[in-house]
Amino acid sequence: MLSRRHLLTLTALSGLSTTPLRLAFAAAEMPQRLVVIMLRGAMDGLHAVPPIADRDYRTLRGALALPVPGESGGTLSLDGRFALHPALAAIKQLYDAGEAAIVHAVATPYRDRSHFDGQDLLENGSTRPHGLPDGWLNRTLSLLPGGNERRIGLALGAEIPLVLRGPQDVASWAPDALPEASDDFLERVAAMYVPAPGLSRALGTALETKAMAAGAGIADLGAGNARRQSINLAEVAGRMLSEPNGPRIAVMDVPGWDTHSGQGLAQGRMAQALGQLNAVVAALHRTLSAHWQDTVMLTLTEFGRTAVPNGSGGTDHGTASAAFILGGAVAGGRVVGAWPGLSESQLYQGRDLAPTSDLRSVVLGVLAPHLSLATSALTRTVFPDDTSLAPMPGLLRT
Amino acid sequence: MARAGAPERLTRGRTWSAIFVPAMHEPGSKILLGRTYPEAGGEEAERAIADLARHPATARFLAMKLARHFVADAPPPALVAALEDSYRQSDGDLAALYRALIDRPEAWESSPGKYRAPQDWVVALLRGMDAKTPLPGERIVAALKTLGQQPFFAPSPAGWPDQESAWLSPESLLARVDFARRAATRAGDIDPLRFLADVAGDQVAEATRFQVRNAASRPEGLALAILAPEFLRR
Repeated sequence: MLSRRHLLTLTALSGLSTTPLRLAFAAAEMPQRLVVIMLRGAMDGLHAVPPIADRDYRTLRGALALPVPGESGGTLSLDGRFALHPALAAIKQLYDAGEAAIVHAVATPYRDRSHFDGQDLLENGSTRPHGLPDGWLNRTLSLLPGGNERRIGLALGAEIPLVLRGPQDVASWAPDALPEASDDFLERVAAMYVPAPGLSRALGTALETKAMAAGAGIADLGAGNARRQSINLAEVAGRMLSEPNGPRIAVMDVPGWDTHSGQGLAQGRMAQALGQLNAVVAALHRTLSAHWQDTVMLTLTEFGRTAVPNGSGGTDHGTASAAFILGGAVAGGRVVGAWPGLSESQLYQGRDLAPTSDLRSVVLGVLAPHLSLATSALTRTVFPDDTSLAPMPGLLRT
Repeated sequence: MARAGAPERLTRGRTWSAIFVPAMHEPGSKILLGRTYPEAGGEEAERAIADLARHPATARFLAMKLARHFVADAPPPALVAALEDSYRQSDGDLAALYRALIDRPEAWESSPGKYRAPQDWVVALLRGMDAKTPLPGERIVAALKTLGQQPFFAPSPAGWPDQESAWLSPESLLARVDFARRAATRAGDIDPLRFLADVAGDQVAEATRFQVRNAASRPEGLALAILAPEFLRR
C-alpha cells in the first residue's frame, strides 16, 4: 500500500542537491520508464514459454508437458511454435496487443549451476562471479543525463540488489511487513531439520497449525501473503515511476522459481510463481498506464532448468531460459531468438535447453534504444568484459 | 531474611552499594534456616548472607546453574559435583569456580547441544555477520521482544529460564524463521557458506550444508544458515 508519506519521502530524496528548475528540466529530459524484474532461483523457460510445436517437447517433458491450447488448463497459444503457461494471461494480452516480446533460449555467459554465483554474474555484468563490485544498471545510470544530480534508480525491497548497487545514488522503498515465509522455504528448513528431532518436531507442529489456519481461511486475515506483497511492490514501483520528479528505473524481485519438486502443471509451485509474475505485470501496467508508451519491463533470471523432469516432479539447475520484454515501447507480438531444438544432441550437455542468445545482448537491445545511449558507451561501461557484444536488434518500436 | 535484610538498601550512585537504615530495622533476634541471629544491627544481614553462601545447597545450586548454562540442560553429574567441590573448597570463590569449569573437558565438547535463548542467538548472529546487518538497535530490541526475551525484562528476579523446553516451541521457532529472513535480506554480500563455516566450523551436518548451498538466492541461503540446527544450538 502506498501512503502519502512514502511519496513525500521519495520526492524529498530525489531533490537532494538540485534546484526545482533544474529538476523540472531533468524530468523533462527523461520520459522513459524501465522496470527490471529479477526472477531469482532460475525460471524454467520451457515451462513458462513451452515450445508446443517442437516434436521432442512432449516426450522430453513427460509429466511436465503442459496440455495443448484449448484443453482445460491448456497453454495460451502465441505463434503456433510457442505458447504461454496458463498462469500468464496478462502477458498473453500484452502479446496480442503487440506489447510483449519473448526471447527464448537465452542465457548469461555463466555455465555452472550455483544460484549465488549465477545471480552475482547476472547482476555485476562481468563474465565472472564477483568479477565487478557494482551492478550494470547502476553503471548505466552514470551515462544518463541528470544521472549524477538525482536518483533515477529505485530499488523495491529491503535491500538494494547488486544490479543497482554502485557509485550512483539510488532511492529505495521497502514495506515494513515481512511477507510470510513461502512453503518452498519452509520445506527447505524442514529438510535441514531431519537430523535434528527436537527442531523437526517443533517445526512440524507449527506447519500443521499453519495449514489448519489456512484451511479455515484464517491465513488470509494475516499480514498478507507473498503474492499480495509482490503486487504491492509493483504498485509502489509504478506510482513512484509516475511521479514528476521521481525515479525512472526500478528493480524488483518476484521469487519462487527454484522448482526442484512439485513444479506442477496448471497448478503447483511453478504456476504460483508465474501467477505472481503475471499479477505484478498487470499491476505495473495499471499503475504505469499514463506512461505506457514509454515503458519497458524486462525479466531476468540467472539460468534455466534441466529439460527433463527429475524424480520429484521438478527440474534442476540448467542453462538457457526465456526473457520477457513487456510494455508500450516494445516491438512485441513475437518470440525472438534462434530455437536450438530439444533432441538429445541439441541439448546443452545432453540435459539443458542450449543457449542461442546472450542475455547481455538482450539487455543492450533494451538499454540502447530505450535510453538513447550509444552502444559503444554502453559496452564500455555496462558490460566491459566483452566490448564485442551487440545489442539484439528490433526489440523496441522505433 | 527479609527482616534481617530490610535495613539494607541499595543506593544508586557511581557504583551500587548497600547502606544500613536503622529506622527500617526490626529490633531483636531472628531465626533463619533454624539458626538464631542475635540483634546486631547492620551486621545481621552480612552474617546471614555469609552463612547462606556457605550452605551446601548454594554450592549445588550455583554449580548446576553454571553447568547447565555452559554445557547442557542436563549436565553430566560428575561435572556438577566437581564444580560443587571447587566452590566449597575455595570457600565460595566464584573466580575459582569459573576456572574449574574452564578446566573441565565437558566445557570444551565441540558438538553443539545447548539450544540458544533468543538473546544468545541474536548476539551470535550479529557477531557472525560482523555486525554488518543494518538492522537498527530498536529493531533488534523489538525482535527480542517478539522472540520472548526483551533485554532487562526477565519475568522474575530468578532471571531467564535456561532450558530448551522454555525456548523451543512451534510458535517461537516460526518467529525465529521470520527474524532470520529479515536479518538475511539486509545482510549485504555475506556469503552463506562462509557464514556457516565461521559460526559452526566443521560441525555442520550434510543436510544443513546441502540446503544452504542450494538455496535459491544468497539471502535465502543466509536465512537457512541462521536457522541451521548447528547455529540454533551451541
